[in-house]
Amino acid sequence: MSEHERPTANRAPEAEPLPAYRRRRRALVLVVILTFAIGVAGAAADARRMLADPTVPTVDIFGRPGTPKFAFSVTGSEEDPLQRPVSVAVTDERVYVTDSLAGRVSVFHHGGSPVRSIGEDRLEVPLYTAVDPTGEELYVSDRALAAVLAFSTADGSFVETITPSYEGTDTVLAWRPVAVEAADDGSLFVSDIASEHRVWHVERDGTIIDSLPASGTAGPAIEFDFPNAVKSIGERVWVADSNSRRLLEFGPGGTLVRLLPLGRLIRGFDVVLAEEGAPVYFALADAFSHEVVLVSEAGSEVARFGGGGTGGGQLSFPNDVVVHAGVTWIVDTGNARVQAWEWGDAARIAAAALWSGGPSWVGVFSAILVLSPLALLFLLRRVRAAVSPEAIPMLSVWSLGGHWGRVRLYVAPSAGDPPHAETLPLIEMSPVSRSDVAFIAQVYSLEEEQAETLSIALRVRMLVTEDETLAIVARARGVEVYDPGRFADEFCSEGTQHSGGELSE
Amino acid sequence: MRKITIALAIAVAASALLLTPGIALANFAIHGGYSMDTDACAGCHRAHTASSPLQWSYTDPDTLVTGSGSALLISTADETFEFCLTCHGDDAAGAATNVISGVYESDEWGDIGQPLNGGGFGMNRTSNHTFNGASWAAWGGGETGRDGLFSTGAGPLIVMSCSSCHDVHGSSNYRILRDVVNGIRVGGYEADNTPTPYVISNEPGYPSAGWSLHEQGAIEMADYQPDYTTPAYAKAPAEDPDKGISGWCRACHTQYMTNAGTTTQVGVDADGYFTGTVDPEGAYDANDGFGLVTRYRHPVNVELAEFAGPRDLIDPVQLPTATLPSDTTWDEAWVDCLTCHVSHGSTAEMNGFANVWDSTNPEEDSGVGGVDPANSSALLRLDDRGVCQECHNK
Repeated sequence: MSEHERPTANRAPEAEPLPAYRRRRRALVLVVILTFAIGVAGAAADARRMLADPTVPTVDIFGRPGTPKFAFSVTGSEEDPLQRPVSVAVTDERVYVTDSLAGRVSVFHHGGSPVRSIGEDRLEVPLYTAVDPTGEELYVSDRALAAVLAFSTADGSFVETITPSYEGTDTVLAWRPVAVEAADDGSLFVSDIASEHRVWHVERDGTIIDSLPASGTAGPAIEFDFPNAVKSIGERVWVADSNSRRLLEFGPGGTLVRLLPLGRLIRGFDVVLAEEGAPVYFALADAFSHEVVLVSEAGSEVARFGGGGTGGGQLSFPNDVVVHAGVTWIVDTGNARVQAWEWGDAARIAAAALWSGGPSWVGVFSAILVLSPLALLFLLRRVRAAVSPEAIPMLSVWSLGGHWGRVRLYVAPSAGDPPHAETLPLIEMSPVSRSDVAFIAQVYSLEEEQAETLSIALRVRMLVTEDETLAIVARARGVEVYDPGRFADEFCSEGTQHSGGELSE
Repeated sequence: MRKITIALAIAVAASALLLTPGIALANFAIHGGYSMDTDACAGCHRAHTASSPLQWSYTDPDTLVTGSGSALLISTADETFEFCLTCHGDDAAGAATNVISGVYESDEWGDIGQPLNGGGFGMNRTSNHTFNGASWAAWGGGETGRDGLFSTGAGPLIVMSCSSCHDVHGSSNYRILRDVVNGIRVGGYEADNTPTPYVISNEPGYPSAGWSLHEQGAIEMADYQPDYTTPAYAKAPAEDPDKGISGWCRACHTQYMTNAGTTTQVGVDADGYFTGTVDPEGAYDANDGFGLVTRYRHPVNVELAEFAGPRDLIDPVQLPTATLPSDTTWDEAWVDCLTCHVSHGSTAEMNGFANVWDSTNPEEDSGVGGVDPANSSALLRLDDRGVCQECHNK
């Protein structure tokens, strides 16, 4: 039997190895199926993670169920961009942002367009800010100046430095103010890290009313450790005791009402009170987890959103948060911007999650794998080969009863008209370059017909021949060379009427 | 068979002990002193859910074997300085030591509002040590000053962040200065946990033998009264001229403890300490235009009394020299790196001949804020060359 004997029908099918071409094709299909399955599984898992992101649950905070949704960022003007925003104060008309690096307060419309700058000639390292209840004055603490300065909100002009002193004395308290809060009655709460960390309650003119922790009050001894934010509503005062990672509520007379251990490095925070008598929530800016965390009055977490990063809705070391008229303003310090988040309806959960969190690397990689079926297009490519005239009869015999599919053969012009037989693949006469043929014939000492065939083979990179000389030269030029039997094995699917036994020697 | 199994088990156990990086030892320094029921660890770390990619790199002071792993930090800070500045920054009110403005903001351990001993890294600085994780070449670093494709006058690049100099959890040295810097041992502990510091302090309650570990360290910490605004620099332990802050700085600024010529670092000895040979005529290219010639340097770790020439030094010197409590006269003090330089950043202004572009042809105020090779104020404490005049009274 010839070494290239065609598979026969009388052989046991399970004993016949598949031709290499079909083995490769089958392996490709299997790999594609496997890759596609992995991609689908990964993408589905990531989509499920995003859609079911527990950080953006539906929460009823503003009297209706909703979820935080990133709206837009405020970055300042092209000429005066925000450089290192630290805190934000919001009124019905304006958004005030302290910028410690630029040494000023940038004022914006609610839509984010800049209005003006305040304090450029006064401030050095502004930290926290608050607007008085009438909306006429802006208070700014400055770390380098160790002072609280008052500015007019109308025109941004400097009003005065608020100097703390005890009533009836001229002794000015040397403080290092950090947080500043304007109470409903026009007084101020200012946290001080100079010596014994505390929160001073002072009149607008600086006269000291009292301080927190209040001395002589009953209850556990409280020591602040870098209190970074103070909020007040009526007689209730809340203090973020940052380094102690807790939030404290004080009532009338400075009595400790509540202490919430948070386990988070909270810098700025805001009290979310939809209406009088409604449940109180706290929006906390967690500088280390790059999130805003919503906790209930009892201290249990109800939502958190943001997450580290530079994209829209992602945060980097957020330092302050204010909730005003349903909009959450977050100072995204590390990204030099202030973000506005709305309280979207529940139907927007998926969109908000996708936008705020985004796909993970697993999701992106999986999405690429899902495209793997495109590789099957490789199987649709046409197999093109040059064929030398003497190989044609053998191909006819070897492929008896088989199907050639997308095989196309090219024969040299000097071989004459190609044969037409149902058992053969489509054979066409291929034009050749006479100069190429002459060159090939001379260089390789080939006959004209051999040179023409090699010229075609060099173009299509495949040759079917029984001519040993031609085969050697073609292989040397990087052409894939088949004899008729092996070519039929590779590319001609077996027919039912074929009997290879007739080819036995 | 049983003997072979036992032998294999012993070999595996021994290998595990030898190959496992040294355990992290809690220390009692600025960031130490935690109690057994402390919650402070959770302020920065998560054991199983850390989200920061920051690595903890470690060089065993005894074996100089290096290792690294996740620092298990919370936050997503990808540079050490970002994490540190969350408390120590200008706008981050989490620590009284504001290293950006370089100001101490409390009256507990220093004068409120006064400059930190090390200065600050922030704006308006005319020079500062790199701290943002960038690679940096130490002036006088390396062995020849010609490392790299072009001569820069500096040594191999060193990644510089807060943790390049400070070990946040403590060390044997003053101000949690690392025990191993740039692969050179500059402090540490003996096998019996006896501290072997390079840098100590004269602050009240400071353990002159260096910070101990564990319970003894806690006792020392209880007595310690740091002063962040008034330097109280001490001479090197046992007045070893190879140690002190100058010996510590030499871990990067290799050449600057050599009075003349070059120091060729041979390597480290069995204990990990710097070993080198000094060639007093060795040439060094400082990238100042003079090329590869012998360089001469101001002595360090020497008593001021040794330099009482025809005209006396100013009595007493106002710069922060290094002393010992047992010193009886001002000129027993040592001059070292910190006598003239600050460690974090300087606001000193360089003018006139202290601001020259080409040292081979010095023209007043032709420079960009200093002279070669730094072309900045080079962390000097005083304007121009005020640090010279403070002692020499020329």
